[in-house]
Amino acid sequence: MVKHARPLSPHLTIYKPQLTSVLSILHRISGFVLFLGGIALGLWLLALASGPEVYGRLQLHMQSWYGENLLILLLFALLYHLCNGIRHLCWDAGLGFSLPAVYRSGAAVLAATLVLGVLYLLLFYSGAARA
Amino acid sequence: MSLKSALGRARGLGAVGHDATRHWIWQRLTAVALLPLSIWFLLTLCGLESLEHQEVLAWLRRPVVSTLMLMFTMSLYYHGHLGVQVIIEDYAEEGWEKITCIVFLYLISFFIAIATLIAVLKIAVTG
Repeated sequence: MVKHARPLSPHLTIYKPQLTSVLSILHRISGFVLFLGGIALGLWLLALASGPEVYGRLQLHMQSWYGENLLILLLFALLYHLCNGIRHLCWDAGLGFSLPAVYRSGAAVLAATLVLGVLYLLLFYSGAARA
Repeated sequence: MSLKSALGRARGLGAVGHDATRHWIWQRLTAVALLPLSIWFLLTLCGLESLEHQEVLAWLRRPVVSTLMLMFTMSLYYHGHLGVQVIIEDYAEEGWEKITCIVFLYLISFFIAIATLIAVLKIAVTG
């Protein structure tokens, strides 16, 4: 293979963290976490199709303290990635590029993630379904 | 000295030679598809009476639910695959490590997509 002397992404540790850079890396981290969550969803469906015994064993993990906390983490990762994804799509359309707009939309994404997450948890636990 | 033109030498090098435009477009198309699909997924989970085996089976067996579940999971895996591939390309060392990571990612993505397809179809067709 030919070695190209192309640069890698900048090393993040040399920069002072700012709202913009922190939200940017959070988009990547939440995206990666959600890929793992997607695999977990696939395995859950596989267990569902495999019968009550396999499904029951997975349910035990999902209902444990760590399972429930991981699912709540996945919920917030999904909501953050969803809201910030809309922000990215707006940028792709050429909207909201000024520095004040970028900070405003960033703060809005964080607020929306928290509000939607809390609302969803209230809705979920007020229903009959219990994770 | 090469007799190739400047354009001929440049073709196939860089991002365009690796289908970057298609990658970019599909990442956005699946992102747009996932907006309504992930909202559907979150809300439909709230509508379940319980997460007992029989209850969830009866829910997933409904044709609309199995269809949307397959659209959601397939868009999710494709979008996730494209995203993780970019992370690997950005951070992995150039060479066999990078190739190994990307091949491994393909294996994981294909495995989970086929497993999901079989699981949902089995439930939809036979219960």
